[in-house]
Amino acid sequence: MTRAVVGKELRVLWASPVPYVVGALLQLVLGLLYVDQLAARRQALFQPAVPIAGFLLLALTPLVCMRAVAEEARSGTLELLLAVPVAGRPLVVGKWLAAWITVLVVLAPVVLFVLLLEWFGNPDLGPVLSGLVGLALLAGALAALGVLASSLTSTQPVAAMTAFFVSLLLWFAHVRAEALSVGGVMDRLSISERLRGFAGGVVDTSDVAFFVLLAAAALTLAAAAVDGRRLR
Amino acid sequence: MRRRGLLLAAALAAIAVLGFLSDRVHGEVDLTAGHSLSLSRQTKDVLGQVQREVKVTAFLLRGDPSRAQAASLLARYRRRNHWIAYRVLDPTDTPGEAARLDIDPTEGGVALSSRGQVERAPTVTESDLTAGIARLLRHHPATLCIAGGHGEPSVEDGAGPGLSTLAGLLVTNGYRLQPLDLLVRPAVPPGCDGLVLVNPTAPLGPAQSAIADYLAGGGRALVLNDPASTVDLSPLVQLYGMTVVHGLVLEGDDGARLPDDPLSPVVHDFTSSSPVVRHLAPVVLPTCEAVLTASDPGRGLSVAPLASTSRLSFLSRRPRDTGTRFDPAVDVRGPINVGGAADLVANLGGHVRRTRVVALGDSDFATNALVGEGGNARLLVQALDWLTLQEDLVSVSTNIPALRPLSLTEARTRYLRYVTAGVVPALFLLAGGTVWAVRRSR
Repeated sequence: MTRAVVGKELRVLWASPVPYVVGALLQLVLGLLYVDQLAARRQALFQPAVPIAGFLLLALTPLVCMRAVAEEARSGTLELLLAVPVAGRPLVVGKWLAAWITVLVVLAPVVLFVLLLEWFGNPDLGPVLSGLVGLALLAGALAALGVLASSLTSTQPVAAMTAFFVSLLLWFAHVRAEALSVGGVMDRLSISERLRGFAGGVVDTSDVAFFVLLAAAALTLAAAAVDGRRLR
Repeated sequence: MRRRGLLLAAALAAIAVLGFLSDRVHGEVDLTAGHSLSLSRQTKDVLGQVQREVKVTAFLLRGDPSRAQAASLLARYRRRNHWIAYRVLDPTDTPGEAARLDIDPTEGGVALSSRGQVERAPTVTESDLTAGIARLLRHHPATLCIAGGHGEPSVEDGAGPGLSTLAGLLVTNGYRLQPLDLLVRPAVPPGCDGLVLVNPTAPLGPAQSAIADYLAGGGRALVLNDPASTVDLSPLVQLYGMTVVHGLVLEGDDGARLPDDPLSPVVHDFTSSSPVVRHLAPVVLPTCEAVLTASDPGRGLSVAPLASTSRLSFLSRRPRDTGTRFDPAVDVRGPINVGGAADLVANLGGHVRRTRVVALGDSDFATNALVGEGGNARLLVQALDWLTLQEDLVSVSTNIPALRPLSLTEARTRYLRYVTAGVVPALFLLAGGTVWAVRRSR
């Protein structure tokens, strides 16, 4: 079931202009900002690309995910899907996998940066690898949040905006966290702080677990929301 | 319906518990070359002792290549212990904050503060940060004993040749000063964390043995020699792989001396990896002599040359006779080494005893008249920091990541922009357009 959903979602997604426009935007802004960073630092570092790409994913992943469930709900095809005895989980996981794969493909040309760094300098490949792992995990978590937002509404722009603002809150969760009584918790929820270790070259199991569990929590809630529609 | 709600709550609770556990019990893989982001055991031990807020403020220019690494390193400290809070500021954006924390905005540096106490360090490296935190945690300030009684300049003397400015600087840096009259009582008290011996002009007599005994017992000393003195301090430092070679260094390079003054070298060659001279601004050393360091000092002893004058300098062995002329028969061609740092480690049945000596061929640079010049003050503070730190802290390996210069000309920058921000986005749009056209043609 999940595989079928993934295949169908990928076909629909890549037949739409969304991944192409998202890819062009992401690579354009990332390319400009990253090359500026390289020109300023004059060091063969991949590290500056990670937070830039991370923040761009924050803004662009919801666009890839917004239609996942919301469009099905709007067009009425979700009711058809829910009429067959299929649990919400494989449906949601399939849509999430398709969105994640799409975001990874859109992100993939960052590997070109590494080749260019190798050409003009001698980058440390360890942080490159960890940075790519961090971005892939972040993309997975953001895609899950996007699918969750999409499952809560039948309006695509609302789904995209909701996912973006939730992601934004998580990105800046650490800001002024020390002033709050729950500062420690907020700090741990900050996806930008979690990404920082990957960017630097360190893969921490707690950071990996954070992104995996964030995705798991979002998908669990999304599956519950889809199942809730069936009951309605 | 209720069962579904319970299942959902249980699933989310399980995820929350897993998240909590993964934060508590976690491991890490440092993929950087040389594991430059792995915290050493010593750092972890020190961080384990932090139970009150320690604010770390690093001042690094936005274009500083080490800025990102510094932020990553500080994040690791915070990850290890959440009492550590940190900020990375550009000193040009925040001159007021830099001034408040007594950080020179042109040099940058890092300030660590806790409960009103502030410690400073020159670089955002593991050794400096850990040492700074350790100093904050120290329940009592390190005591520096200032040797006196044999014509040494006084820490109470506010005139040009005195050391009152240096004394104030050391107190600001968390040291307690204890003047010693080694003429009246030739003994170094056990409470001395370090001894400062500045240019004695009268023979030390029994005080020399007292200092030698203090060092042999794991003491730490900063020994500042001077060509103006007839007292030979070599016997004190020779045991630690260093020799004071008397004479006068004459600097021939206009770019490495005070204007038209060959007797005042401005030393900027700090090729040593010793933390004593790390990130130092040029040091002005008027009328200095040479300090040689042994290349093969022996078991347990490591000696590092600290700084040297230019190739155009020389050591005049008989300056009264030859003036500023080079005499190939007796004089020594530059570069002339003018300082050394020795570290002797002895294992005494499970107990490690560590003796440290820093010897420099000049003392004028520490006086009120010159301590504010260039990197003079910082050299003294770094030397004493290195000397007096506890042995379990100073062995923290430096984690300065290797610089990886990027050969980026204007043309290459344009090329990079063209490829990354031009060609790649265009390919995406082209692919999208092709798909659209194919679908439209069907």
